[in-house]
Amino acid sequence: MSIEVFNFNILKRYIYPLFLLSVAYVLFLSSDAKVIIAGVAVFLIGMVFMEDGFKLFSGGILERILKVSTSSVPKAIGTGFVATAIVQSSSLISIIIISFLSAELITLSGAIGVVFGSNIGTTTTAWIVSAFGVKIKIAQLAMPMLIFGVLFRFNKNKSYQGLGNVLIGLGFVFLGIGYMKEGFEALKGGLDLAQFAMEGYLGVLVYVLIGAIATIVMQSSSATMALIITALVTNQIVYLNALELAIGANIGTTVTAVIGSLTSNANGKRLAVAHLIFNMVTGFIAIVLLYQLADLVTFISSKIGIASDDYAMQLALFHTIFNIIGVLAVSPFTPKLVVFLKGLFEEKVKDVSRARYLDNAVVEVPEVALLALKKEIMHLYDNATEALSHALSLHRHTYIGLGDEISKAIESSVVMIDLDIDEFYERKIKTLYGDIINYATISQETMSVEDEHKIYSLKIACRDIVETIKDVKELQKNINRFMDSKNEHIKGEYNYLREEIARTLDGIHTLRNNSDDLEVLVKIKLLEENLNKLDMIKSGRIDNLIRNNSIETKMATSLINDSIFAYEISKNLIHVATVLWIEDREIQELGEE
Amino acid sequence: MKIARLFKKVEDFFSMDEQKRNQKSKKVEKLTSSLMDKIESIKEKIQETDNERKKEKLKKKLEILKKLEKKLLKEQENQDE
Repeated sequence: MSIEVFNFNILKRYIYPLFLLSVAYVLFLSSDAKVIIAGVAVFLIGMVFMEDGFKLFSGGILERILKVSTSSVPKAIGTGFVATAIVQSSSLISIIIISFLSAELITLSGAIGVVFGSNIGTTTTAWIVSAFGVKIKIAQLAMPMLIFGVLFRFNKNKSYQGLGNVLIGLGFVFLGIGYMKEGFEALKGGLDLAQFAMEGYLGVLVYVLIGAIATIVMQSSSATMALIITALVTNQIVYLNALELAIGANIGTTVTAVIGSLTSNANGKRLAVAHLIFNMVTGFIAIVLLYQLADLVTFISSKIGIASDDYAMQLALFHTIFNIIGVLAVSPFTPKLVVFLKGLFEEKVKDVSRARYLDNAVVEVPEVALLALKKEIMHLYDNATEALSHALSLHRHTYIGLGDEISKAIESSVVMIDLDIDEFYERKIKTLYGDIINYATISQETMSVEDEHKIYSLKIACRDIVETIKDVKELQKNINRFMDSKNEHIKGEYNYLREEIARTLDGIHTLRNNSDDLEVLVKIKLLEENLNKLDMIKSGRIDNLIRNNSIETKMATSLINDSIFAYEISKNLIHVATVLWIEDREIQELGEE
Repeated sequence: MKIARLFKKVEDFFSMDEQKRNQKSKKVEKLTSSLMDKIESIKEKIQETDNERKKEKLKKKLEILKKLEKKLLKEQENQDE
């Protein structure tokens, strides 16, 4: 921790201001460099817009695909490739994957597979830039994109706003490439960077280092690739040095990922190290076999119709080939990598009072944020069931899963558990509840109306969970009071209330892992039918007890009041189950009265 | 006339309401058919079992499924109107 703080302080105090000063100096010295750097800035803004756009535009499709298509490493590699090629952002894919990993929705080997595939997917940027970016009057294409992008941003529909952001992003990306190209062309009149071309392995190392540093500074390998390609087509750098810069960009991007993971959880760190290992191995192979790979690129280019002087396309092909070779070399060792990474970063013992799934990195990705919230509310529910069970003087392991045999478990649980509910609430409920509500409120700012409804339902479910704790506090007093009562009737009645709440908790436990929403709804409806029995007045139960002089009047009034608490607890638990364990909105609505 | 049609198409494209309605009615149809399947399967199970307690539970389930089916059909009728 102290090392992290130390590093960040140095960064803040010295490196960052120095960097700004040097950029300002370069801008002052050369107006051509100004155009190139402005191009990079516009390109990076475009990437930010595109990433934001895809978060809104995909409507959860991206997250659903990533969730279900990572069951095997080859499948995960394919998924990572396609997803990154479409959204053009490996960092967005990484964020989603880390959150899925934290929510235990995918395995570490699946996540590593996605990272491998994502590395190949990110090479499509080089293809786009070399195929379109530098060959046509790009500004003419960028302008309509920007215009339509802004028009779409005015639409109320979040999906259209997302599409607008994607178009604006693409427009800026193309515009940025246009500026870079223009800048390099102008620069050539005054300064020929090609004179610094270096041959041999010294050249390899120098240019790999430059590529890596450029990527660390710009925090985007795509921006570096765009810069390399535009420099290459304007003959500011030679082909071989461009290949070396591309290798450097691949290595540099892992440094960004590792820095980003310093404050992340164990899963984030594991993935960052997997990424680092993959890119280091890939980089090493590419450096050692640089000349052979260059020959291979020339050979394949001649076969697939890339002109021998089209170095931009050949660079894109090189970028793809060496990443594919990296995947082929590293992916067979995925199981060993998983064992190594799990040993390297062990997960801390989970503190039940703190949020486990609410990752701020995904708060703006609606589908993932919703999923994280649902998981966290299940966590809150589990904490609440502990309080409820103990307040009823029950241990969960003694009655959960017993079904019809629960009554026996209740009768045999005669030892009072002295739970201080207020203390429990402060320790295991209050902070978690606050974290959930806070996260829900922040996340809904970027959500569609439909998703906002889901957030609303989740907030209500949270409130219901907290209500059950408050109600059981009232109920606990008399349960404890009459547990040892010599009056068998009142003792039996309070055991009945304990039993009915325990039945609800057990019933909900049985439906938790059922993926058939209709089955879940039927089970919930069966639990609901039991609810009315808890109303002592409606069921006529209290009348019989009073008529037969089985209990005193004071006991009767207490019992009536407490039966209402028991009713409310069960009702709220059933409502929570409907929200948390029925996925389909239509089926959820069908269950509502 | 052509301009009016063009505007209508643009409006449909932007509103997406029609598309959403179609999607919803398809979902409801699917839900109705799976409810019917479940009802049939429970009826069969009731006939097959000799265990009275189990039979009683299945009957309760059947009753709930029928209620849900009735509610769904009623909702569908209301929507059609």
